[in-house]
Amino acid sequence: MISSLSLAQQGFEVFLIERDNELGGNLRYIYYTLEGDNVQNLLKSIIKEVKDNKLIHAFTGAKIESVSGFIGNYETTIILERGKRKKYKHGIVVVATGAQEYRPHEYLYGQDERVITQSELEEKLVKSDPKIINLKSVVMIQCVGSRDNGHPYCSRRCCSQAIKNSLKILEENPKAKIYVLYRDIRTYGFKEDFYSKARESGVMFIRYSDDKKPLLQNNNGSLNIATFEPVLQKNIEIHPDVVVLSTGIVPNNDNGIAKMLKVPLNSDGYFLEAHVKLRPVDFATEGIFIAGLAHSPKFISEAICQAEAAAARASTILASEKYHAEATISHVDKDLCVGCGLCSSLCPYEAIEIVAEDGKRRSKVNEALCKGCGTCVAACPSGAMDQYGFTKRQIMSMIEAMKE
Amino acid sequence: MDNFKPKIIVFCCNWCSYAGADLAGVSRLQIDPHFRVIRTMCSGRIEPEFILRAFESGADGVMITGCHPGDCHYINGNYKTIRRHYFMKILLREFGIDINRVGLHFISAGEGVEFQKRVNEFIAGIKKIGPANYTKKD
Repeated sequence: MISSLSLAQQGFEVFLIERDNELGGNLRYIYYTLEGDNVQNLLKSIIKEVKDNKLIHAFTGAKIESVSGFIGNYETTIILERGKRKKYKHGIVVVATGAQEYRPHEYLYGQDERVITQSELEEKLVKSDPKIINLKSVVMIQCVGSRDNGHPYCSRRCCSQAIKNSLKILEENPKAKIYVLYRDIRTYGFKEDFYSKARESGVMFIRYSDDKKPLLQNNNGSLNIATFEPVLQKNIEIHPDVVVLSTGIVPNNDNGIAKMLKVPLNSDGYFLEAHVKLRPVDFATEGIFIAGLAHSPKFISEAICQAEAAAARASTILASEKYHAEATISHVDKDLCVGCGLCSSLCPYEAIEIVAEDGKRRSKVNEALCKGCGTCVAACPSGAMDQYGFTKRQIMSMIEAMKE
Repeated sequence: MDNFKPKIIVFCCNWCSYAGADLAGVSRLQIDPHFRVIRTMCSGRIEPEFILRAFESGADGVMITGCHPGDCHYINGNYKTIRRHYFMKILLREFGIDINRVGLHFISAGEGVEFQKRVNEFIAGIKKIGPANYTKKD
C-alpha cells in the first residue's frame, strides 16, 4: 500500500491486488509498537488514503492468474472475488506478498489454551482481557520456529515483541512476574534501551541453549516449565499461569507468484533480491521489485522504508521514455537454428522462447529480457547462437593469439 | 625443464574473478607471469571447444574461474560451468589430455589474494607436469 501510494502520488496509475478480503495484511494484527506508536491509527489513515486516491485501483479478495511480458510491457490476468477475470497492462511489478506468523506445534500449543502466541497476547492485552491482566506469572519462550532446523534464520522482531508485551503487562499489572526464556536477545539499535528498561522493571531473562530446550508439561492441570539456568548452573522449575510463545515469521508459499514472475526464492522461501547491497529492492529480472515481509522478516518501519525504496526504483523506469537494453545480448542465426530448445531451457531469465515460423521451430531471443551471460551460446549444439561483443570468432582469435 | 615457460589461459567472468584479478593487480600481488586472461561475461559462456582450441593453439593449461556457487551475477551460470567441467574432464581423457591441465576455481571480486594463490598453484602444477605439445603438426 505504501508503494502504491508513493507511486500514485507521483502520478502513476496503480493496480493494488490484495488476496485477503480487506487491506492491511499483517498490520491488522499489530496494535502498538515498542516505541509506543499506535499502529491501527496508522493503518486506518493509510487505507483511507489508498481508497481516496483516484489513481489507485484496489482489488481485494483477488487472485493473480497469470503474468506475461517483460519490463515496461507486462500483462496480468486477475481473478476477482466473484470469479470474474480481468486483464491489465502495466510497466512494472512490485511484489509485496508478505509472510505469516509461525503456527507452532511445540510446547503444547493448541492443546492447552494457556499456551498462546505473542500476537494473541497482544490482542488480549489491547482488549484488556481480565484473564491476562490479573496474571501472577508469565513465561515467554523465544525463538519458537526461528533458528531451528526448519527455519535457520532469525525472525528479527520476536525479541522486541516479547519485551514490548512484557512492558505492557507490567504497565497494567506491576505485580506480574515475567520470565523470558531466550537464546540471544536481539533488540538491535535503540530498541536496546527497552531491553534495559525491561530488566530494570524486573523482567527475568533466563538463557537456554539450543540443545537444552525448556520442557513444558501439564502436571495435573498446572503448567510446569523445567529449564537449565546457566548462571546458577542448576535446573529450575517455573509454574506460570500463561506461557507465551514468541513465534517466528514463516514465508507464504509464494512459489506460484515466483514462477509466474520468473524471480528466485532463497533457500528459506523468501524472495531473493538481485544484490544484497547494490540492488536491494530489485530482482535480477528488470522491472520487478520487492518490498516487505515477502523479502525477509522485518519491522514495520523497515517494511515501510523498503516499500518507499521499491516505489522509487520503480519510478525510475516508469518515468523514462526509453529503456536501454544490455549491449552484449545474444542473437540467433535463423538459418542454423534447429529449434532444439536447449538454450531456452538453460536461460536463467527465460529470455528465449521457441517459436514456429514457416513450419519450423526456431529460438527467439527477447532482447529486453536477455542480460548477456552467454550460457545459451556455449550450449548451442548447432552454433546458431552468438553473443554480441563475445562472439565465438572473437574469443577463438583471442585463444589463437597464443600461437604467436 | 628449468627454463620451461608454460602458456596458460585463464578464463575470467566479468563480475567476480575478473574483478578479483584486477584487485590482485592493483594490490601489486606478485603472480607468475605465464598466464593470459580472457574475459567472458559469465563462466557459463565458456564452451568445451574453447578448451580444446586452447590446447591446439599451444596452451599448456587452461584455468576457468567464476563466481562462488550461489553468487553468480546471472543467477546460476557457474553451476552450468561446474556441470560442463565434469563433462570436459571426460572429453579431455578421450583426447588423451591430462585432466590436471584444466582447473576450475571460484574467486570473488574481493579475493585478490585468492586469485594470486590459485593462479600460482595452478602454474606450479603445470610446470611439474611439463609442456603439453598438443599443437597441430603439419
